[in-house]
Formats: sequence, C-alpha cells, structure tokens
Amino acid sequence: MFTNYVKIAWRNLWRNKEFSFINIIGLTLGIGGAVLILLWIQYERSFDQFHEKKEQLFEVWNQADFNGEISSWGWTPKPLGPVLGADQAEVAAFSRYQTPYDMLLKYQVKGINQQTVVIDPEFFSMFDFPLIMGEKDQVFAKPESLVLTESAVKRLFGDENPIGKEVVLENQTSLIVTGVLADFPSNTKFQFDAAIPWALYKQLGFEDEFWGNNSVITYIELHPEVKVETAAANIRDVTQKHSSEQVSLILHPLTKAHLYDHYDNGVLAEGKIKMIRLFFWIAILIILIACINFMNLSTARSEKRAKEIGIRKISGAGRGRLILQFIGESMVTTVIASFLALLIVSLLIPHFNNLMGTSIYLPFGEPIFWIIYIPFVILIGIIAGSYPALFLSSLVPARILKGKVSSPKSAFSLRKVLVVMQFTFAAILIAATLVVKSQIDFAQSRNAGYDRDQLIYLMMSDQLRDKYEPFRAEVLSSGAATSLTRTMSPISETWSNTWGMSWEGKDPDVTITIDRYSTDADLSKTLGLNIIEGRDIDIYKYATDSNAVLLNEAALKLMDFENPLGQLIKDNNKEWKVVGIVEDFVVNSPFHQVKPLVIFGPKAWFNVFHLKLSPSNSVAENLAKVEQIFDKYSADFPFDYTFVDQDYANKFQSEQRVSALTLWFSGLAIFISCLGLFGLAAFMAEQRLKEISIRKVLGASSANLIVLLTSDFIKLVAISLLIGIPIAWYVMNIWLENFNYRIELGVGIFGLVALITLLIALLTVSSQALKAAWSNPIKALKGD
Amino acid sequence: MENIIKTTHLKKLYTTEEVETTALDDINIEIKKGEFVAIMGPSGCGKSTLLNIIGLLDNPDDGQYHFLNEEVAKYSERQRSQLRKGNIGFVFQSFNLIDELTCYENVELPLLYLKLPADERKKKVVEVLTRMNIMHRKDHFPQQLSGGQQQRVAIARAIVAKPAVILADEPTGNLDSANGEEVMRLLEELNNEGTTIVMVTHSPHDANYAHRIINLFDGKVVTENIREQFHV
Repeated sequence: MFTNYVKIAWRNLWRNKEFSFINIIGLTLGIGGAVLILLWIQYERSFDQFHEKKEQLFEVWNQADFNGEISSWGWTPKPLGPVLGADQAEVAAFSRYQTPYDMLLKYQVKGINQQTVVIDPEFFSMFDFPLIMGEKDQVFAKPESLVLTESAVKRLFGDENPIGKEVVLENQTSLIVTGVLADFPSNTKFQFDAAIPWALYKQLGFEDEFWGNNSVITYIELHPEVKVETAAANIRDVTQKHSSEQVSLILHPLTKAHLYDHYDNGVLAEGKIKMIRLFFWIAILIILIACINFMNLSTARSEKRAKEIGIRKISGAGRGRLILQFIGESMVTTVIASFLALLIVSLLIPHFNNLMGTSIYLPFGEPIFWIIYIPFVILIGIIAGSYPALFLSSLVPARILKGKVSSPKSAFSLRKVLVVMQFTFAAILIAATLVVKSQIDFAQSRNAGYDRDQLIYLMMSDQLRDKYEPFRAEVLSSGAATSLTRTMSPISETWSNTWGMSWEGKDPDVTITIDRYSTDADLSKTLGLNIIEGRDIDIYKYATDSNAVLLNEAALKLMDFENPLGQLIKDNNKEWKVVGIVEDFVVNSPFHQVKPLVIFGPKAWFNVFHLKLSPSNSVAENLAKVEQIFDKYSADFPFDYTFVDQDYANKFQSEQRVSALTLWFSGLAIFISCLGLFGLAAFMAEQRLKEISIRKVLGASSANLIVLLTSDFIKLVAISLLIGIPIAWYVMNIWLENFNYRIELGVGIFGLVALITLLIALLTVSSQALKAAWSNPIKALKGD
Repeated sequence: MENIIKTTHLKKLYTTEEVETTALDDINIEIKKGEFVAIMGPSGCGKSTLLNIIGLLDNPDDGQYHFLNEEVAKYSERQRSQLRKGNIGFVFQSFNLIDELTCYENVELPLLYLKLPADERKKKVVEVLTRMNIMHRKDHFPQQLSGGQQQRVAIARAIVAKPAVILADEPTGNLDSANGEEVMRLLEELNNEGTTIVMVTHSPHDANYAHRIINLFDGKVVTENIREQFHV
C-alpha cells in the first residue's frame, strides 16, 4: 500500500509539472528561508553559552537613581573586583576586563598595534577559552607576562614558537610571552588579540582606587551552590560601603549579556532578543505562506483528483486511508523541497555571513541537527497536507463519479481566507521593509553637523605625545593637511562622561550625565563645526586656553546661561571658562538626539588626533606625506589611520543589517505568496475557461474578461491591505520607539504599501487572465 | 431463492435551497442471488440514484434496505465502506480508471484495500487480466488504451475481489457496438458463473441480456418485465 502511495504521489508530481514546480519551489524557499533564520537565531542565542561555568558567571553592573529614573550601566570602578573577591564569600573568582585597546607590541624589529585587554589571572579559569600553549594558572604568574591569540602570534612571530620570547609593549615595557589562546569563536563577546595582567597595569601606575571612575567591566564567578538572589542581595551595597558613591550593584548574567544588553529604569530590557523574536515570527510566516500555497493549489485541483478519490472509495478505501495518502503526497513534496532547501541554504550561507557579520553553518555532522530537522520537515509536510487531505477525503463518491464535483462553497471561502492571510503577511512585510529603509535613510541623510570628507584620525602614541607640536607644524607646512586637532576620542564617539559637573545656577539635586570631549586647537576648522557664539579653543594662540571650554547647544540649553561666554564650569576639581558655543553635531548615535557635550581645553587629556587632508592633493599623496612625518616623530609605532566617514557609516551597520534582512525575507515571503497566487490564478482561469469562452462568443472584450478574472483576486488583496496596514502601523510604531531621531508614519508610506501590494498581485494574476482571455473559445466549448 | 438485495418503501429526496425533488419514491424491489437485473427508464427517473443506494454509496432518506440480509439503510459512511469492500464491484459508463496508475495497479487497488498479501494479489490480478484478455497491456496507463480495453480493465477491477454483486452503470454507453457487445457477453458470462448483476441502461439491446427489467419513471417502479424465467 505504501509503495502504491509513493508511486501515485510521484506520478502526480511528474504529470502536473507546473503545479509540482510551484509547490516544490514554494516549499523549498519557505523551508530554506526558515532554516536560514533559525540557524541565525541559534547562532545569536549561542553567544557565550559554551562556558562550562556559564550559570555562575556574571557581569557586575552599577545602578543609580538619577532624578527618579534608574540608570544601569556595565562600567565599574577598578577596586570593585578585588573587594568582591576578598570580602564576599559567595564570589569564587573575579576578573576585571579593560576593554580592547590598540597597543603597540614589538618583537625584535617588528611592531604592530594589537587589540589588547587588561585582565586578572582568574580570567583563564572562569571562561572556557582554551590555551594552546601555557597553563591556565601559570600564564600570569608574573606581571611581565603576555598572552597572545593564535592569529596575533602568526602576525608577530610567523611560524616561530613564541613562548618565552620577549615582546616590548608600547615601546616601554618588556614582556615575556607565556601563553597562546586559540582564536576566539565569533559567538563570544570577548574578542581581542593580546592580554596583559592587571598586576602589570598596576606596576605601570594605571591602577586607581577611585570608586567614582567607572572604567572597567568586572566579571565574577559565584560558587556553584550559591543562589544568585542571595549573592545579588549580599553584594548590592558594596560600593556604598566603600565610598560615597550612591550606586547599587546588580548581577547581569553572562548568558544574557548578548541578547539583553540594557535595563530600562532598572528592569532588564530586551535588546537583540526583540529582533530575534521578530525574525522567528517571520520564519513561521514564511513557512505558513509556503504551506498555504500547497493547500490552496491542492484543493483547487480537487476536481482533477476527485475521480481518483471516488474510485478509491468504491474500491474500499476508508477516509483514514485517503487522509494518509494525501498527507503522504504532501510529505513527498516536502521531503524533496527539504533537500533542495538545504542545498540553497548551503549556497547562501557565505553571503548571509558576509551580510550579517556572523559565522553560521549547516551542522550536517551533528546528530542534533537531524533530530530537529527531520521532525521539522515532517511537521511541515503534515501542516501542508492536512487541509487538502481532510478536504479531498471528504468528497462523496456517489457525486464525484457522476461528474458532479464542484468545490463546496465553504472550501472556496477557506481558500479565499488563506489568500487573504498570505497577502496580509505580505503587506505587513512590505510595510516593514519600507519603514525600516525610510528610517535608515532619514538618519543617514541627517546633517551630522561636521564634515567627514577627507577626515582621518590616529591614536596618539607615547612618542608623539611629547613631540606633537613640531609634528603638527611639520604636517601643516607640508601641505598634506589643512588642519589638525587633538581630541579625547575619535569624533564618532565619546569615551568619557560625568554627572559631577557643576556650574552657576545648577540645581544640586538634579543628576545629569554630560559627555566629555577635548581639543587643543582648530576643532571647528578640522571637523567643519559651526561656532555660533564666541570662538574655538586655540592653545597656540591663547595661552590661557588650557582651561577653556566649548559647549554644544544641548549643553547650553541644559545649563541655561543667558550670556554663556566667560561662565565658569567645574569638573574634575578644575575650573573651566566658556569661550564658545558650537552648533550641535552627531557624536554618538545618529538615531538619537544630540546630548549635552562639553569640549575641554588641553588641561583635559588627549588620546587621538584628527587631520583634515588637503583637498589640493590626492588622498594617497597626503597620506604618504603624513606617514613620512609620522615615522620621523613616532618611528616605533605603525601609521594606523582611520577614515571618519567609514566610522560614521559603521554606525548604521546594525540597522542596515536589520534592513537587509527584512528586505530579503520580505521579498522571499512575497515571492512565495505570488507563486501561490499565480498557481491559483492558473487553476481558476482553467476552471472558468468554459464561462470565459461563452462570454467571448457573446461579445466580451479581452479587457472585460481580464477585469472579470482579476477582480476577485484584487478584492482579496484589498481586504488583506485593510487588515495588514493597521497591524503594520502598530508594529512599526513600536519599532520606531527605539529611535528618538525618527520618521513619522504618515499616510504616504502606507499608500505606497497598498500600491506595491496591489501591483504585485495584479501582475501575478493578469498573465493568467490574459492567457485565458486570448484563448480560442471553440476549444473550450467543443467538449460539450 | 435467497434475496441479496431487498428494498422496502425506499425514498430519496434531493433538497436544494428552493426546491425539494423526490428522486426515489416507495421503491420495493427484491433481487435474488445470481440474478441479472436491468434497470431502465428515461433520464432523471432515478436509475443512478437507485444504483448508488444499492451500491452503498449513498443512504436512502426513508425506508429499509437489506443487503445480504443486513439492514443497512442507516449505516454510516464507514460501515458502508466496510460492507462494500469485497462484496460489490462497480462498472461505469466512463470506466473511471485512475489515470496515474497502470492497468495492473488499477485492478490491484481493491485487493490492496482488502489487505491481501502481495503474492496472492499478483495471482488474482494476473488471473483476471488474462481472463479479460488484457494481460499484454498490464503496464499501460489507461489513456494508452482503447475504450473497449479500458472497460475490460474496469470489469477486471470490479470482479478481481470476487464480489457477490456487480453494479454496472451504462457499461456500454461510451463504447462502439462491437466493444459494447463484448462487454455485455463478459457480464453474461460472469452472471452464468453465479455473480449477481444489476445494470442501469438505456439500451433495450443490452437489457435483453438481463433476466428481468425494472422500469423506473419519476422515481417510481412502473413495471417489471420478466424476460425469461430465472433458474437456480
């Protein structure tokens, strides 16, 4: 019996090639799309889940009440880790983590900048990052130790064994390579090239005991038997016990660090998980759309299958047998589609990884993959086959064998409902694509307030720090750059903020975070900023400018000075005098309003310098000249520069990925929907061929007939739009809440959604309508 | 002689939104084992409706129907399906073969649903195909055969499970006279071997093969002509 089912399923597939093609392609794309999304979701969920002690590992976060709102952040003071390790019995181990920073590592004559972190020795036992060389408890036995990743070893040593070799850090300190870490998998938040021990950092004088300086991430490992709630309650007030800082501590689980990356008013908020959930539903929708195609096309063909069903019934087939047979048929189609889907997915994965910055793969070799995939395919086969099976097996043999089969009214209505469902999904996805795209375009076309063209920045090396002035003079006189400015951080981000700033008239009860920035001179000239009051800072012109300060408009508004120039601002136990007001410019997220920013004079500190390259030479010429001068003053450090426009473009990366993902999967869903509609239209046209022919003989024009044939579908699509657009409006408004520099959802965008959806449906259906309208009426009528 | 089919006050109505049509009205017939009965009458008189009820494809709205001495008028689809299996064979005007199956597979179908083992199925199918003189075309699909050949396959399928009754609905309607004649002779032969045959037909010629002719008009039995005495 089973072979009979498979045989007839196969012959049916073969005989109705067009129908089978549509079904198989639809299901292939549906399954493929869903598999890709599910692999990606699995990848995002796997971040830092491979540590054996993952349930015991936490980031310690600060929490404080600012004007009635609870702020939470992951930066903590340097003394916190050791205090927790020493005083809290529930803490088994701790490691501070100074985030990766380019440091010069030099082996013999070869020096390269490597992303280097500062960690405590326990780091290696807390996290499961295998050491290829060296022992976990030995690598940081001495302060002058250096652990490199495999790739960093390759870059610095080539094929030489690095263990025991001397490497000079930042041209100053000799270190011995004591360990080599395997390269990090991409699904961990820890990504660096080199690690040095905290003991060295302390020895070099970078350690501070200031509880108000939140500059490192603190990781702790709890003892396995300790309850998280108990530990959290015990460490909550540690900072307050050791300092006057009014902050509490919370435990942020490492297992959640990737998907839940912030707190809203003290409550763990959904970060990336939101997007993952959204795409999970998109995967389900895509599968459903593909299943609906199968259902619609199968039941539309019921007239063709009716005879067979009748014969089987009078030959003794019970309903159960027939249901099994039809489920079996959908299973054959689904199994073929599932293999094709894996083929397509494996072809697409490299592009997907490239687009999304991920490293997903098809785990063919892992049994768990098949344990999930096979039931997944069977489930899809059952879903796709269920309705056709129930419908077809219910046909009454006495009627069908007399040729009296017409699809019962209710079934046709259900088919309509299914089409409406498909196009509702399609309309929502089209709307989502348009809204995401518009929002990104909106932010991208935002005036950043500074000119990114031909603007580069470099890290300030120790060598250059002492000889910056002659370097600057030489660069300017070379004609390679029109201006230079030293700053605290690249213009694309701020590295420091404070709620300790004060000024005349400030309400002492109000805590406000203000971003810090700095310059020596020519900030406005180099970055193309607009000074709207007063002047730029210029230490070379005004000796007193070392404690001058510029405010951006947002800061001015906050401080509410009537005459800002000459006002004094207190920060870091220093007094600063306002010399100018600069128009707001986008430093951090282009999707958010500009925050208050204070730009200090040279008494603050500098880590970076920006150069505006000269427009009169080529970029290559300018860079060559600057490099030559750079090498003269900072011979031991590599000339690693970054273009600001690239940095700025990177700010859109995550949203652009969402946009690309939405675009591709919406396109896929729409394509599958259209495939189904196309098939359905073909069957409808075939079914109505006699009616069309009679109408034609009676004088209907092709246009009349096309309207007749398409209007039913267009009505369905119109209903889909009525349902889909409000849903899309609601969902996309929620998404837009993530941005405070954002578009408003107007009628226009949804008008466009309606237009696109209708147009796509019309194009899909009209080809079939045309075919029917142009057919020779005699052919259809002769059979009667 | 034992009755194989007996209907008492059988009634069937077709109801649409506006009208109620009486398809069968107070039908009382008895068909004995081994009989060959033809049902005749003009289009729309209820012949096929009666055949469907006799064939357990449909239920009457009123009255009793005894099939093999069992009262089946109120049977569910599942019960009817069970009873049909192996007891009733159908032959249709339009052959009703499954296009996607070969001749052999079409004939095998009822045996599959009877869950017979493969070797037994093969034996029976080969036997019946040989008898119908169509064995040489067993691997062909229905569309590759002539009408007469298709009907022979259909008859093979109807008799392969050795049913007690064969119901034939205008079996020669789509055939030329030579092929029609051959089909009728086959049915006669089967009847001679003991199979009960109930045949709906328009053709007086075909009806001549039957022992008895039941004439229907507007859903009622109007006359019953006994052509020849039926002997056991």
